[in-house]
Amino acid sequence: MKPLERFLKKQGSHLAARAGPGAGGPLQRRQSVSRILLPAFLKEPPEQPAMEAADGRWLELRPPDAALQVLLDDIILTHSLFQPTDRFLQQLHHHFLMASGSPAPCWEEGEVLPRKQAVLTVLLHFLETFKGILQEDESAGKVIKDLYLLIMKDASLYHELEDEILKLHQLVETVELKVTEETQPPNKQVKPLFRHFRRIDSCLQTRVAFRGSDEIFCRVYMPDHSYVTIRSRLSASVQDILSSVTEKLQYSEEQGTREEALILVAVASSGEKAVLQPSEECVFTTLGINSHLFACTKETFESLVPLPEEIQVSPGDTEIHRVEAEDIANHLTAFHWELFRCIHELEFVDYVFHGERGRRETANLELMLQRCSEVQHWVATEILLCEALGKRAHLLKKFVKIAAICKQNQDMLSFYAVVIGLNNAAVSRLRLTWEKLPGKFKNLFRKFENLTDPCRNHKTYREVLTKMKPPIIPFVPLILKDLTFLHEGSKTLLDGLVNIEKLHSIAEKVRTIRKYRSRPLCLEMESSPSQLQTKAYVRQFQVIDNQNLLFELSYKLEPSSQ
Amino acid sequence: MPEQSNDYRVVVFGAGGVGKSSLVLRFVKGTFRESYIPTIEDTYRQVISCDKSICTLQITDTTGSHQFPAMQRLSISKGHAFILVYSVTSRQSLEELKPIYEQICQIKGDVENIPIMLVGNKSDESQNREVESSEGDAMAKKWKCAFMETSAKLNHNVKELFQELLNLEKRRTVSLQIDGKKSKQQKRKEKLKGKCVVM
Ligand SMILES: Nc1nc2c(ncn2[C@@H]2O[C@H](COP(=O)(O)OP(=O)(O)OP(=O)(O)O)[C@@H](O)[C@H]2O)c(=O)[nH]1
Ligand SMILES: [Mg+2]
Repeated sequence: MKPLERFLKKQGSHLAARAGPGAGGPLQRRQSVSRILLPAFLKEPPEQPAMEAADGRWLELRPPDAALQVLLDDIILTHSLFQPTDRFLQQLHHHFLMASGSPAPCWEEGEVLPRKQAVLTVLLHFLETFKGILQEDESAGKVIKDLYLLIMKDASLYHELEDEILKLHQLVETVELKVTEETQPPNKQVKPLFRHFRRIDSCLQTRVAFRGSDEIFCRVYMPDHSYVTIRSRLSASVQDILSSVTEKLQYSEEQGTREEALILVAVASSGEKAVLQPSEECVFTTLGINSHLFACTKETFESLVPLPEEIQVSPGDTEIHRVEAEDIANHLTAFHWELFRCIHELEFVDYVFHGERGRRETANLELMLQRCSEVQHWVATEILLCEALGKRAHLLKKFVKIAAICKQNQDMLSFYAVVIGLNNAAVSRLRLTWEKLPGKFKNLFRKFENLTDPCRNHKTYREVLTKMKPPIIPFVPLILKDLTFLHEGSKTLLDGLVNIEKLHSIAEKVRTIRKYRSRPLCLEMESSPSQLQTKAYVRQFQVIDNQNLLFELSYKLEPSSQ
Repeated sequence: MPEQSNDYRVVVFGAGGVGKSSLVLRFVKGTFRESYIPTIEDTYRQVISCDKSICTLQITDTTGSHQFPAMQRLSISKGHAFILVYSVTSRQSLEELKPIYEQICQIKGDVENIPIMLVGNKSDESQNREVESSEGDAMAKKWKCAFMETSAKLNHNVKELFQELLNLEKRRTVSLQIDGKKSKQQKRKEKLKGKCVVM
């Protein structure tokens, strides 16, 4: 099965038809499109007998160029489901070579140019979609560079390709491919991923996307809570992390060799432990909010205890009490928009389908998920640390207000997170506090609960969302749920053929995300010192993520009534 | 939850490569090695006895590069005692301690009551010596702190360094006591002297 090959072979002339010399009229092209497309890519799945027909209709309904464009986009976005990216590119490369071989072994003279154009079209779309994340993939970068050089060599021979080649040139330049021959950029800045290494000024700066090659600092703890800080690539494997730690700890070389092998364990604030496998990669962004990495031997594993709770606020004295709901909500939206924008659209695909094919980092998506959980715990933490009943009820009201403004901002992620936080069992059981909430806000919150109700597959939420115009920050976990559903609902390969219908629905989902971000979000916010303070507060919440502890606080505030 | 107040925090400062990590690891693990791995920030914990009860000694080994001013400030404000290390093979490394000392003064205010040890490390390298022991001594007098020369490599004066530092604290906690009268303070001073030993 070589889907890309088929795609190129069959589509060569059509992808290029726009500029190709002997391109026929639209009607002719359309006919050939449906004739060629269907047998190549579509396989009627036994459980969905209507699909081929339906798909045929889909082709009829659109002008062929647009349909091809969609198909191309589908494949670029989802090819990793059936083929690793570097293989995909190798095939592209191979096709270009075949077209260059003069005379082409199996093609007629007049087909060479269209075929090359087809390769170029695919390559251009690929580069435009992948952009910065290509820097992370050395083998893919190498193929692109080779292909690029091949194409450039041809440039003078085929004047018809001029436009494409110019565009390719620009894209390759903006993508700044990192190929082995070139020297690595000297001391790239270490990015602050963990709170202890974040400085106020850096947390106020606009977030830029994390890449696997970024260097970060990370603390690794010992059973006695000693720690060493290591410098590591974000994409480092557990094995790499452990060898850095060992290198630091086995200070005496001779003695070192006899020491027992270490294992890496993530310990959550609740005491829950998870042993990380040596081959696991990019573990930093998958840690829970207050989880820490521990290095220990198999013998000491049992004795691991979590670090003491970090939070040290005098009750009722945090920023939240001083600042208006509107300011908090706007800073939440602004920050979450930054985080949302940092996620490459392919991260959504890779997150759901990784493990099947070589894994790309999905760090930015993971950070967004981590943040979503952080906001939920922040809401619960703030309420449960507020001892005075009146003040607590006031805070509750403020959070409902914050949710309302986030919703108005079309920031459904913050909205959801705040509502979920208020629905935390440790918060919702505070009967006395909820009783003090004004009726108007009680009703409002009831509406919000209804909006976030998962019944009938989140019907209410989806309806609200379709009415919104971009920019929108969606509730990201639901997108992942939908993608997972699409993935598990049907097979990728059917009798050796790619299930294009599946690819298409996945790509459609990704295009929705594209649409949400198609317009910039502009919130008017001044940069007064107090606003900056609020901004810093919103970007570095200190939260309790240990549910037992939250319950403890809750029962202390309002003991059970008998 | 507030941090365990039982911890006694010592912070080690000094320019890159003077041997801070070597001193700390010689003390904590009893080892030494020739190769050099620059530090970002490490903290080692040890149980010590302190006035008949038990507490944790936290030794924070900092970076010699000046990459993290915020982290440096934080360790100073959290630290109870400080070790300022230079290498006797580099006059420059002694110079580089000045801004750190000044920052400790600025953040802690009353430095006379804070245990500070000026340390000239690599005393074994007699051939490459740039700073005489008398110069270190003079600087310590100026800074009103204690002074010692050490060699992490030969394990010379390392344990003594930490013990001496803790002894300084014992003499001074007393005078730092906010409650209690003067006479009482003095009594405690006697009582506590030398009671804090490394186990
Ligand atoms: N001869 C000699 N060499 C030493 C001594 N102490 C440390 N060294 C060597 O000096 C180099 C630097 O030592 P480190 O302890 O890593 O220096 P550091 O002050 O921690 O450096 P940073 O972490 O970068 O700030 C290493 O190669 C050590 O082997 C010593 O007492 N004598
Ligand atoms: Mg060091």
